Amino acid sequence: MKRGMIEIILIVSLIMMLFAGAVAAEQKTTIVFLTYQNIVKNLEKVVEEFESTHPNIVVKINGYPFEQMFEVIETKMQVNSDEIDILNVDAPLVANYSIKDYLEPLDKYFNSEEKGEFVDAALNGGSFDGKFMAAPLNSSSVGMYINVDLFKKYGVEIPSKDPAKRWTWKKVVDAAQKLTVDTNNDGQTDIWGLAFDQFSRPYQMLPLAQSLGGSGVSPDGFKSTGYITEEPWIQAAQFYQDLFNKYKISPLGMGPFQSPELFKAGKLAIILTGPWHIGNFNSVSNLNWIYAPHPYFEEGEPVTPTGSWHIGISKYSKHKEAAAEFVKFLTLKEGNLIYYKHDRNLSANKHTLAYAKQEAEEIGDDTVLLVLFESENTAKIRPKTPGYLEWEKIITRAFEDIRNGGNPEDVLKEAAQEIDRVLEKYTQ
Amino acid sequence: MKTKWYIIFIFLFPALVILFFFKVYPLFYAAIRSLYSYSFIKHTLNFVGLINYIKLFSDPVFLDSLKMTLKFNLIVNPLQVIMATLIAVLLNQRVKGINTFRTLFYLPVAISVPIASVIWGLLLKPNGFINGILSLAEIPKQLFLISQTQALYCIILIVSWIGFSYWMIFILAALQEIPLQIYESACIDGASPLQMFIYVTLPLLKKAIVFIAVGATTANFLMFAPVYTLTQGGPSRSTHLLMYEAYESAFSYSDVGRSNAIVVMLIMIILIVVGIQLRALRTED
Repeated sequence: MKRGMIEIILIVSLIMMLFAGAVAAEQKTTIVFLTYQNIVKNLEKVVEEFESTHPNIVVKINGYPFEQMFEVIETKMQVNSDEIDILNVDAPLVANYSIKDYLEPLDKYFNSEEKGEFVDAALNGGSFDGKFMAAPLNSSSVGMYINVDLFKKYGVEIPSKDPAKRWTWKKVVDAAQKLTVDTNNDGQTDIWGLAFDQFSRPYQMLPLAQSLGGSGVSPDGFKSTGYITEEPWIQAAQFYQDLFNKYKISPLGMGPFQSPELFKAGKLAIILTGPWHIGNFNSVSNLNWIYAPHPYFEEGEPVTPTGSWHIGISKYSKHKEAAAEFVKFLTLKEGNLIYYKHDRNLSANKHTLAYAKQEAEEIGDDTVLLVLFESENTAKIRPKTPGYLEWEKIITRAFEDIRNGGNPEDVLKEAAQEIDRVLEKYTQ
Repeated sequence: MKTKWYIIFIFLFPALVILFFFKVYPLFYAAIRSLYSYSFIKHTLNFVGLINYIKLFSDPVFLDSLKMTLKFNLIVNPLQVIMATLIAVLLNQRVKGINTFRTLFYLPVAISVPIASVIWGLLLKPNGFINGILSLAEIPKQLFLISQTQALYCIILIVSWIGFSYWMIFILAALQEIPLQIYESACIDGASPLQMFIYVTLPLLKKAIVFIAVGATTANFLMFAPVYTLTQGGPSRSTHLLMYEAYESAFSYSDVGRSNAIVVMLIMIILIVVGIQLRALRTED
């Protein structure tokens, strides 16, 4: 065969292959899921299973750093972008995104039996103005992860796992002071006593004020003056400041989500975070940890954070049907179970919860049992306001200022004024 | 030979198109959008006239940010211009190995502002490298970026570290344009090095200095990345510059009208300041 002939055959074959690829690609619908980086790996396991049973749908996961995800959502949704089909919705943001018209109502995709799979509080949290706006994926809880080896090394009593013997904040501070150590006497702390996973973020700050009877916004959700400016908040904020500046048991200058690495490195004795870190901490072979109940103020009541992720479909998606298929797979029976097995966070699905409880009882997993106990007995939701995004940002900044030495009363007063101003737009 | 006007236009056309779509159009859009407000109840965009501007003047957050932005610029712009000029004069000397020094001083420009901010953020952490050095000298630990009194100066330091090296190149180029004969004449007339700098170098650098003063002012009034990356406007709003407030207003608080009003105000402030600079540093040409 002549050389020219071979070239022609090769070119024709190549063109045919390209066309075949194009035709195959055309038959598949690609949906884009905007989420945050930490859960991408767990979601991929669900996507793998979903794509094997739904060969015509491809799920592309776009993971962003946690804080940036909210900004990306705002940026894209404000310009009615159709680049996102599915998005993560933090529980208190369901109202905010609904008011801004970011979400497609899910009532036509979920029948009443399917909605009945969700625990009532989560279903309620995913609804706004009588419509089902975002399907609950999971809920959450927070407790104290204890580095047992550090406690033993410095001769400190190890907290009980029993919620009835829950430690007070005073006891936690006493222990953490003994566990904050400069090992080489260079003037720099090498082992810290206590850290929050989400420093200064309301998710973990709220239980401090709520434990003392405080609430974040007025019942209509538009005012914070008269709420965060009251004694429970001032007392909670003062306590938070003292952790860093008076007792010096917690590191200054560390941002949210950084302290788990410190705990993994064995340089932190107590971290307050949730069950989503079980797998993460278990991955460190020489890290000997236990999970103990969330502390409380002696003069108050035990309160733990709750509420977590919902999954919404973008109002501007061009593939709503395919997106709904995936959302249902992820939040209902089998897909949700796959997700739970990798994430280990408290599920919002009754079937998965029952599975988790049964499994925990069978193998005696007291961490999961404690998480379930807290979610049923001490969990308090975050404020219900259409302006939660703004509220959260301003409160985070206020607690960061308080952490860095700002006067708690003054900072909270200024924060309340700003919240009142920025939430005014939702009333006009 | 006189160049025909359409030849000039053809060569300028691509730049003009880019300038129009990425600078002029957004500016006009911002000015128009600042006259509207979105109703979250009715889901409509309503014309509100100058309300967004009027509200700004009774808004303590905006007024604080405005004050902070003016303070920041009052320090950072002269600092960058003076540092750029002095270092450029030093780097213009004919000494052995001067090219190595020129490269070293120009290096910060090769690092993008966000990356430089992250690096400085790590260095300035309470348990970071700089506090480690200070502790060796038995100086107490400094809070730097999380201190209400130090954070703005840290931002000024970081911005100037990058800024002065960039502007320095323009001064260096202008210095090399100055004919040596002028210095020789001044020398014969008995001028000291300081007199030569004041009466020869500075007047001949005036055009370059005007250029970098205007450039630095525009860039620094619109400064955003270090604040966003390092302090998010804190602590206690001590680094809350207007550009960050405009960003936050649009993308955190969904108040696009207010955000655009802030941007328009910022552009007007820049125009006024640049106008004053051009008038004050006017060159006879």
